[in-house]
Amino acid sequence: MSHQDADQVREEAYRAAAGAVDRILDRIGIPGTDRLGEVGHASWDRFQAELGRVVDLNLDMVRNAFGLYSTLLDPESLRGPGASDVLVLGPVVPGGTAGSVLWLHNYDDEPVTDVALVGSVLTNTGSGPANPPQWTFSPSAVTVPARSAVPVMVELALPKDAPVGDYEATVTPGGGPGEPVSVRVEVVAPSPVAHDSW
Amino acid sequence: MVTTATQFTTDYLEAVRAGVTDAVAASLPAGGPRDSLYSPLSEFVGRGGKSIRPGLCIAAARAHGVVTERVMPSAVALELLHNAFLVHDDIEDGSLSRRGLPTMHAEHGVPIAINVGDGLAALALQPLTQNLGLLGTTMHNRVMAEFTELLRMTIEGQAIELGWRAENAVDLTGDDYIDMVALKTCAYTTIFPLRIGALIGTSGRADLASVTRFGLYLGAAFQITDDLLNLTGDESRYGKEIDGDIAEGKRTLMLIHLLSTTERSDRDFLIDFLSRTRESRSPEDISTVGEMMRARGSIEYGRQYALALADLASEAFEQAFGSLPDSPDRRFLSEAVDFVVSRDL
Repeated sequence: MSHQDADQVREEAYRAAAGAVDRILDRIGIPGTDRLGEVGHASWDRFQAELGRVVDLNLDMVRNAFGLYSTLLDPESLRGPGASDVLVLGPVVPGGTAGSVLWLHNYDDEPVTDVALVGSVLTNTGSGPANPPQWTFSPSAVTVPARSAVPVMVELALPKDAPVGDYEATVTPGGGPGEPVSVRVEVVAPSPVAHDSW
Repeated sequence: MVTTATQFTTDYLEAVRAGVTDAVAASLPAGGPRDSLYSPLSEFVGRGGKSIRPGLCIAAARAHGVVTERVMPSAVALELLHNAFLVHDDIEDGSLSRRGLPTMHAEHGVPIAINVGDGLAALALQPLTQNLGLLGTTMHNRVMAEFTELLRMTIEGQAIELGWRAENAVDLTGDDYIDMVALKTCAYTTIFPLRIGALIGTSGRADLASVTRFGLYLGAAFQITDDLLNLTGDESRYGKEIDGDIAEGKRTLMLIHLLSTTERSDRDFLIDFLSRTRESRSPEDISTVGEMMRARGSIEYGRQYALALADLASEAFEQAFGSLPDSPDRRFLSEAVDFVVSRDL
């Protein structure tokens, strides 16, 4: 095959593949601004519509069975049964991102509005504070209805130069009642590719 | 540029295969019925494969820093689903060998094979329930939404290809082929394994458009290479009968190229050949079609097409995963491009 012919084949391949990508993305949607629960995704919307009721009904079962959540509460009387005091993130490698769900509970009879979370620096007892991590909370501010709970996605992007080790931090609510929640982060070295690492 | 599959990629996939095989084995029921379901099912899964689907899923998650345990149920589901598709595909295609051994229906008959395929698809759902506890309700639902889209696309892609054969379609283009492969192969082989891994790895914040683009280019290169191996590979390593695609009348890129470039008399022969049933296609005629492909440059055309897609995949990788820190998982995703176009099995 001549160079000219090869170039023509490549052009055909590029055109066909680019068109196919466009059609696939049109179909799936382009959730380029994905946020959990706000996804422009046809299947997701259908699935949510079908499962929404079931998920709501089973939330307590999910929490009790798997202990997925920590609790952010103030005053002390609002603290619910089975809540954990510590939010555990990771293990995560330097430069990686760890995330978890933090449930904000309000056992009071009045709603709590505009609760925005703030994350602290990471401290490592061996080497002192690491470079500032990047915290992301989704949604950035929430209202917790009376006698209800709202999930907030907590994500921590670690600096690439974070030394391996166990870190501590806090997440504190602003704009509403609440006390800091302790966060533990385990930073690990990237795993070698070996059978026993799977 | 594309050279040869690296030892690293092979080692990575071997590690994935060992881990996934253990997890799959643990998920298979110990009870009965044995002879007509679980024994042939276990034997088929135990033959192993390349593990490219769980490998891409795991790597896309781990490259973002999460531990393997969070993504393993989804990876196991992908592998079981792949096995389910293979059992049914082999019936639909009339294929006789798979992974170097008789296909499920060749060994156990069509009724049992259909049921084993259904069983594998049902078992694939089981590990996904673990995502509820591992990932939380929202991400669990999100992963399920990805799986439902994956299933629909794959089945629709297979329907398009089967329809081409039923209608004896002979005026197809490369664009038609890539659109079909995007659904039939890329969706469950590359696009959604990568998307699901990236979603889990980023807690839902991955740039899924870039990941989809990488997956489609990679998967299309993978499928064309697979079809080339069916024409030129070593049967003992490839595991399927050589020229089986010609015997099945499968509309590969090479056949589409041949149909569109050959002279009138040869085209008439091809149209007649493709209109027949598999059983009535003689070994001599099958061999003749293979020779026509070589003479017309259809095989070289397919090879160049796959290499072009591989180059596109390499560029797309940089957008989708290039900014991540160095890790074995990121390296695997990068080198998977070379692997899919230079493999010999």
